[in-house]
Amino acid sequence: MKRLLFLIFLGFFAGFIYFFSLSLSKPKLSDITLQEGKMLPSIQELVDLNGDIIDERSLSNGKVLLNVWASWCITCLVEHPFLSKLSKGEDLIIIGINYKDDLSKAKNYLDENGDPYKFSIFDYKGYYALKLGVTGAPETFLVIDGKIVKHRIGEINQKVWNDEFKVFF
Amino acid sequence: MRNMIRRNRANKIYLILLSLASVALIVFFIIKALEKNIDLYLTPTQIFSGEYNTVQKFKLGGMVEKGSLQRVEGEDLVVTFTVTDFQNSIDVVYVGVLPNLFKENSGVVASGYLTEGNAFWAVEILAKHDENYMPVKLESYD
Amino acid sequence: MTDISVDFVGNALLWGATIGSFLGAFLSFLHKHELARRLIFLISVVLLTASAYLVIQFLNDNFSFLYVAQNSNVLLPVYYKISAFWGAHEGSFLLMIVLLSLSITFSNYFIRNKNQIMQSNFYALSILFLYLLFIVTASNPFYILSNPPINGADLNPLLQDPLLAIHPPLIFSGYVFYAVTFCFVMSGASGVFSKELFSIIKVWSSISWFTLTLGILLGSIWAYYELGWGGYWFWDPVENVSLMPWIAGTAFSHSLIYSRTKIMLSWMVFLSIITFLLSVFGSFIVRSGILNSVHSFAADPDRGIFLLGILSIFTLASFIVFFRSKDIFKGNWPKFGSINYLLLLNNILLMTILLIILLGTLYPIFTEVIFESKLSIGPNYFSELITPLTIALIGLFTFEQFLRLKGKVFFLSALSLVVLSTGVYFFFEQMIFLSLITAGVLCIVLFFNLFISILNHQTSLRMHKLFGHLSVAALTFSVLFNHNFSESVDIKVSEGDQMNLLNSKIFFEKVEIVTDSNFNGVRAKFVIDEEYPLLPEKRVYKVGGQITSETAVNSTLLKDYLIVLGDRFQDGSWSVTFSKKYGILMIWMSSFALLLSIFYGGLRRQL
Repeated sequence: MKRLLFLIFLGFFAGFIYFFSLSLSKPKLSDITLQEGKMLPSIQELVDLNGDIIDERSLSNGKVLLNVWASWCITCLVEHPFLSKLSKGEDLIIIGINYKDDLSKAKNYLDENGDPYKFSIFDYKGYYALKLGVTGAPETFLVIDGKIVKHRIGEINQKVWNDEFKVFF
Repeated sequence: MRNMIRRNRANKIYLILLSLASVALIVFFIIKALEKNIDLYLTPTQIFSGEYNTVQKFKLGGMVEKGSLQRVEGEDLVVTFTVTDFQNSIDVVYVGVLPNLFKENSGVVASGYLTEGNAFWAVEILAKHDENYMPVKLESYD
Repeated sequence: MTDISVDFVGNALLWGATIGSFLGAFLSFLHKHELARRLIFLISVVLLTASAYLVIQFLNDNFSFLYVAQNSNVLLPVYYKISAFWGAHEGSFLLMIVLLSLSITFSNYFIRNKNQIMQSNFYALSILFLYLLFIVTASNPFYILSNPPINGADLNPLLQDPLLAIHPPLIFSGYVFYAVTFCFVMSGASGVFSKELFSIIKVWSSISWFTLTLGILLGSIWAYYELGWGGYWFWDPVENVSLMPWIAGTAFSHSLIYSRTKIMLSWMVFLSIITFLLSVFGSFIVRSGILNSVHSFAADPDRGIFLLGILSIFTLASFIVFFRSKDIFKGNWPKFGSINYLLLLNNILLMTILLIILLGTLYPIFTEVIFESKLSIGPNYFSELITPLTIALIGLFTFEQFLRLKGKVFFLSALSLVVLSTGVYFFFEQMIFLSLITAGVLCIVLFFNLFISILNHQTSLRMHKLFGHLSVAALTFSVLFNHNFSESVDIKVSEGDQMNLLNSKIFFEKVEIVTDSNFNGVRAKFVIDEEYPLLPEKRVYKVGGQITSETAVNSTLLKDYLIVLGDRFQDGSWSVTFSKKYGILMIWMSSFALLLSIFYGGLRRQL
């Protein structure tokens, strides 16, 4: 009878472990839809950090990695070295979206930590980010010929890159 | 003697099975009660897909669209705004004081009912924290 | 270039403690108890140094530490810089480990009888080792940024509150103390339960029970005064997760009293395991990001897998010890109507409540995984199912009071109790009132009982028991009172307005601007019924930019008045929520009475 109880316990235990490992392995359903499969919204009169108007074609030709960052965002600082590494490898253009930031702080941030971006869109009010469906910083979009193929909310690092982005190269 | 031990053993096994059955019964009733008190949690796209029960009270989740928050003239505490999941959006009507975390261009969860005109009548608004803090310039109250 | 590297000092200390605890567990396993004992002292010194080291980085605003940069800010007052230490996942886990090692050290220092403590050291050190391994690999607070930011991201403003600064560590301490209790129970289950071991377990269980109760109560008080939604318990999954070990712990403490009989002993060991596992389950479910909640920490799937691993090791190991123990599953079902029988019934009721909460908490997770639909469980589910069971619990205790009366008197009192509550029920004919009135009747009965026992100069043991149960009855009564009568209304008012709402006169006197070192804001002044002033505030924090409302509360014995400031309209008027909440002060008072009684219970054992 002890054995019977122990078997019942083991049954419950196995079910319990199975259920929670399932729930851990499944990506969370989020109420904010990722933007994959959508076309990049058109840009008008967007400027970079130097105040130059951005040419729309620079975003919609070839493989472009759009990275939302800000000087106030600590996680962006964490993923910065990885972006720097990326900018040296792969045939890939990395473009930043400087999100709700102060111009001088943003420039200072790039001076101190290095600039992996071809250029950064200065999105002071977050309007362009809103069109893109950005919820915060950092977020990263992989755009191939104007189409968003991958949208990542949160930090990117080597592991995330290998698991989710690598397939497009 | 051996017979007695065996009978005792059988009794104990019956006892265990009996208690397991009663636990199962309790669980069954609890789950019944659970199903009575469910609040579904839907995005605008899910609401219009028609695959979910939107007759009863449910929770709506999404982002508050920029520039959509309006106060209804003449009505003291009536506000309307649009909740979007970037694919579909739905108009929301709410009467009452909005919580602090409620902001345009930020996440929101509202619980309430779908009206006949396909708008959402919110009974309660629970604004959500953004995952990342966003420092905004100090805004004065005007 | 910014690079992230590990901080040498911090990691060396953590690794040292990890290796030390592994070695210690191994030594206790080999019965080299004296060595293991010395190692335990050493480990707690090392862990204390590690946390002091992290606190110093907070005090020095050393933002080259990633953890400091994420959770602190130059403008933060000093005490919040210290509490920011446990403001996020990594630090709170470190704090828990430090507390665990300190409790083990205290046990080793104070308990002279070697046999008992030595056995438990093995279990304690194994738990410590697994947690430390988790910290160094998946939850390390010691990362360094080579290029530090000028300022940190600030502590979550919700946590910038004295109550919330101490509420989480108290809950953790409760968990940790239950873990220590668990270790002693395990040492008994794998060996013998001696008389001394029982008294050690009783003392530790009182300490754990007290701490967890205090932690939960402070959380409720915080929710009521700071969240400003007028509620003190929301059946939020994270609250449920802390309530479950409390309920199991309550059942544990009760079964401990009569655990000299064999059947109760099995229960006691089982409940101690359940309490411990539920507390580990709590940290797993909160930290893995499985739950969506106001309280949830940032999610990291690797952490979830690690914690699930730890949880399954604990579960498997403790149940193997349980099933192998020779004292388990012996003895007979207690006699009908005896004290042990009632105690068993009480435990079954508590376990049912536990099951209700557990299923209500897990059900949304279950449907999300299996049916991919998101949902939440309304608070009505919990209140509807738990109220009758709680009433039954108090009823059971009240019944027990009359057990010692013989024959006719017993029968008459039981009968009059039943007649009284059914009579009152038919008088009001409303279901919500039934539970309220039953709780009230039980309260009065218990109160008179206490009164009579004081008059009769009964033993302090009995009076203490009556007092504790009376406070639970009073708590249930005031919660129901609050639940059934509270009301709330949203209005639009301008300065100088006077109006009648919810049978009260409200006068909006003025609005003024307030400033502080880390926020700007406005403060309004309202006067209710010409005597209760209320000063609700609205603040904007300088660093994070979050807006918070400071609810104004004015308490009287029977009811509280609450005002929350909403938004300002174009014409200068404000939207305002005005509520009347009944019985809040009674809830706090009866909870404190309960705490007092738990505290006294622990103290009595010590003396």
